[in-house]
Amino acid sequence: MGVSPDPVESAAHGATAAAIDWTEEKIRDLVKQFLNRKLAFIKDEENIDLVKAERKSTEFTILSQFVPKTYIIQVQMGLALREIATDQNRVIPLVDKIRRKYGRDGLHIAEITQVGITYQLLTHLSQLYRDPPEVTKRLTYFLGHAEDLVIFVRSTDKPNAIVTKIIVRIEAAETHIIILFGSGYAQGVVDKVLTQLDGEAPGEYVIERWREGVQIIAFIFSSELRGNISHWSDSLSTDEKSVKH
Amino acid sequence: MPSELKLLLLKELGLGVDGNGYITKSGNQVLDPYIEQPVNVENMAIFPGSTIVLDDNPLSLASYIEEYGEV
Repeated sequence: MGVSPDPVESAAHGATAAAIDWTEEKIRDLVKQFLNRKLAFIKDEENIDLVKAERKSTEFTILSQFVPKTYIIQVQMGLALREIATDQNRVIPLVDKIRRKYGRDGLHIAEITQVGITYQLLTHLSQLYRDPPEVTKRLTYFLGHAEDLVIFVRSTDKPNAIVTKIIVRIEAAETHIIILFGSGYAQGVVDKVLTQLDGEAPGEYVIERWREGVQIIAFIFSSELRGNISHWSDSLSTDEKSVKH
Repeated sequence: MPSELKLLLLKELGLGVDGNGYITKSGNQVLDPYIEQPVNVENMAIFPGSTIVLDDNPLSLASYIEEYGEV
């Protein structure tokens, strides 16, 4: 659209009216509809359709029952990032907007939701605590400390260093859970970390792995949760997930 | 929607467009309330019953729906 220094005034005087197929009556009717709140004003419906579809998804419907208002947009943007992941022209500006609005911590929440960690965490917390307010409390704590409690492992990371991080952080965290995420070659590093952790502190942690495509997510539960975990870990071991005691 | 009609609708809302295509009100650029950045007429969204001018990115749209309900 060519925009003149005063395009509104220009259009209002009908300078270009002859070029369009809109009668004055039709225009008046649309203006009336708009002012009567019956007409939306949006050029590209791709994003609004994306947002609406996410809000209707099972994952968001369940998450929104437990995620506090403070984090709900970051979580929804994580689902949006997952949906548009193959379109970098849409991903890059959205990541930039999330970072500007919510900072690095907010972007981290979006990222852990994008890769499925938030939903899996909620599933675990629901099994551990049953009581919805308690689940919300734990999930809120976790999201507020996601920067420390979710470790994105890189292929160049040293397993020793990650094991030390886990041991230090898991005891300090109220939730007594640490999550590792690795994609591509980093999956091998995650496996080494888990083997080493189990070797250094046998029986101290309950470890659960999920593999999906080229990524691995590992949940590490400290001994404080052992009582809560024992009643459901048996059923998990029959799935593709791997459970260690 | 033809550009001319869009501009007429904006005028009815007391809004204008500056030389760079940004929405204005009383001569000042209108900021999207959620990302606090100027809204270009090409990326503008206004929903029924509202005079809030949004940038049509997912973050702003989701924030608006979260605050005001489904559109």
